[in-house]
Amino acid sequence: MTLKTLSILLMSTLLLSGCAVNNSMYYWGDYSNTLYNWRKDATDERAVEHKAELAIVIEKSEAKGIRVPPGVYCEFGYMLLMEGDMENAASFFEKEAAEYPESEKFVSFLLTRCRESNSEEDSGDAQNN
Amino acid sequence: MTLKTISLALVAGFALSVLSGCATMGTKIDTFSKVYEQRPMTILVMPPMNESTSPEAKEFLECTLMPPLAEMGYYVIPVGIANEILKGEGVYDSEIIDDSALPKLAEYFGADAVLWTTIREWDKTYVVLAGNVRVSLDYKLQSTRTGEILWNYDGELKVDTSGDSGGAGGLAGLFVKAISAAISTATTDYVPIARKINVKVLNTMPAGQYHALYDKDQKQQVRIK
Repeated sequence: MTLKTLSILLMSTLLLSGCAVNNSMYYWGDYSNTLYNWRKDATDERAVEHKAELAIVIEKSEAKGIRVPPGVYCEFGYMLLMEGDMENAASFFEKEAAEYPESEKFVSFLLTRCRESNSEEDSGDAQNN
Repeated sequence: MTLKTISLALVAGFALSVLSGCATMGTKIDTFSKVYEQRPMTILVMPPMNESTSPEAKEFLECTLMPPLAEMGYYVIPVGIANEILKGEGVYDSEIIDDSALPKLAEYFGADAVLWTTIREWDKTYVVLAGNVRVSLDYKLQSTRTGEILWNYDGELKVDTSGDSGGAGGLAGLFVKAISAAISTATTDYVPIARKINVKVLNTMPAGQYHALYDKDQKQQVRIK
């Protein structure tokens, strides 16, 4: 076997295996597992785990220079919303709309929710005072 | 043509149909032309309807639908949030919704289409005995604008879980994971299997706008039955 045949063989093997492994356009990390665990066992601990995984997906995707998967900014924002962090929640919802323009309707629905919980909190404070 | 040739042809035809698992194949454009006409971009995944004897199959399927659907090039409303919002509207199960809800779903979520799934059978004994899982599922992608079914998949599916290694959901991987103390319950290991099922089924869908094959996969042959 000549060196040339060998290198062609090697190249094609590499190419083929490359196709087999790298056929997804997004980085998902352990997304489905942490979502499932949280769905099955709706505790704060599981929510924290899922939120941490979302943060990893965002960080790794941005570092790789690839698009963050659809919905992930939104989901992360939603976790912040549940923690009462309206301001940061809103900024992640806006990131989703910037990355995926077709999410605009859904995002504006979420932002309305954000503002509603904000004003509920304000009126709550007013009553307490 | 002699009798021998005819019988040979018959045998060959029979062999072919056995090989293809009696699946009916068709091109994506012939089978799902409405997807190419309506070009949905945003999909809302509804909670799976579960007719099987495995109650846990619902969550397995639901939590693994989003990544393969997104990988097909569609924008998917995040399943977790959609679920909470639907619950807020009193919708805990998809069974209670009909077509009259479609305009509302389009309004709240901006969804061009809704993905309905029904689990008819989810045979979990197979994974231990035969190294595969046999399921029977029905997927329907319905337009929120016209109410038409744009794409569907209805059938039995056997997913091999023995051939591959580790992370992708192989049987070896299952054992390793089951032993590993980091995983709290053995049931978690169905997540990669459910993902495989969803990948297999959703690959028959015409590609969406973010996919490299968007509008280029009309002639692709897919299993339609």
